[in-house]
Amino acid sequence: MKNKLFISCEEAAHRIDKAQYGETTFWEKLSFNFHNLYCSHCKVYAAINKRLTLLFKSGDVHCLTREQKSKMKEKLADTASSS
Amino acid sequence: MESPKHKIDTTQWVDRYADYLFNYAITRVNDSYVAEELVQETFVAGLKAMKNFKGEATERTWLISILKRKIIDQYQKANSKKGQAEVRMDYSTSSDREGDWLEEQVEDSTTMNAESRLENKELGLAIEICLEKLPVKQAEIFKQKTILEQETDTICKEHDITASNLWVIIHRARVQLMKCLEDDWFKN
Repeated sequence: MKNKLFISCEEAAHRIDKAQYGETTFWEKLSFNFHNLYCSHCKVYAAINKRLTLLFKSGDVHCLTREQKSKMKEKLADTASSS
Repeated sequence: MESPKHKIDTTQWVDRYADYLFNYAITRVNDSYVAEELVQETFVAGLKAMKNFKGEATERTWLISILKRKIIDQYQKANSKKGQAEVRMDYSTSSDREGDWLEEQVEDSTTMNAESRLENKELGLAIEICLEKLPVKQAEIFKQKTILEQETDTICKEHDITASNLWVIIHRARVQLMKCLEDDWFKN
């Protein structure tokens, strides 16, 4: 992708999302920060998004893996068929 | 007289409720293996007791009531084994805690007080309720990325999607979650 300084709000939103997972490149960060200087809408989106990330970190959220769920489904199906 | 007001689809239970029940259980037993077992037992018990479900509560509430009983049973089982367990208990390797029973170290070692721990548990469940409102596939991908912290490539391969697709899904999920939490958590 060609590096450009001026990015659209859509691109900025994409970068904000990626930033929550530490997956932005240096150039992406730079162009996003530049975009933030003149776009209050994206600035708000970034702040709320960051808050969501913090909520996930502080909220003690857990989930099961796909494998664990598959095993559960199998067990449930076995029980259903045997009862 | 029984009226078939509510039809239960048990094939959807795992996708719909497993994570919520797991969150509920893990915050109470502090052991992911035990929590997983309890969720499994809850589904099996629910399946066997399905005819007792009258549809007065939601399926999730009903399953939670079964899980609560399972958790109590788990505590009782653990307590009945306490005497035996104490014989096998080891001391902490840390010298400044030498002499403390392992049992006494179960408490959260962080500086969080009881109130903030409770709030975090509630927040965790509020997040889980919001996650339930997402389309199943979207929720699954979001959880893999955000909670299980899996690599983008791994998730893409597993679901046969491109990285761009993944980021669109993540974006939509995040927007919906922000809105849901704003409505359900921050306003209360």
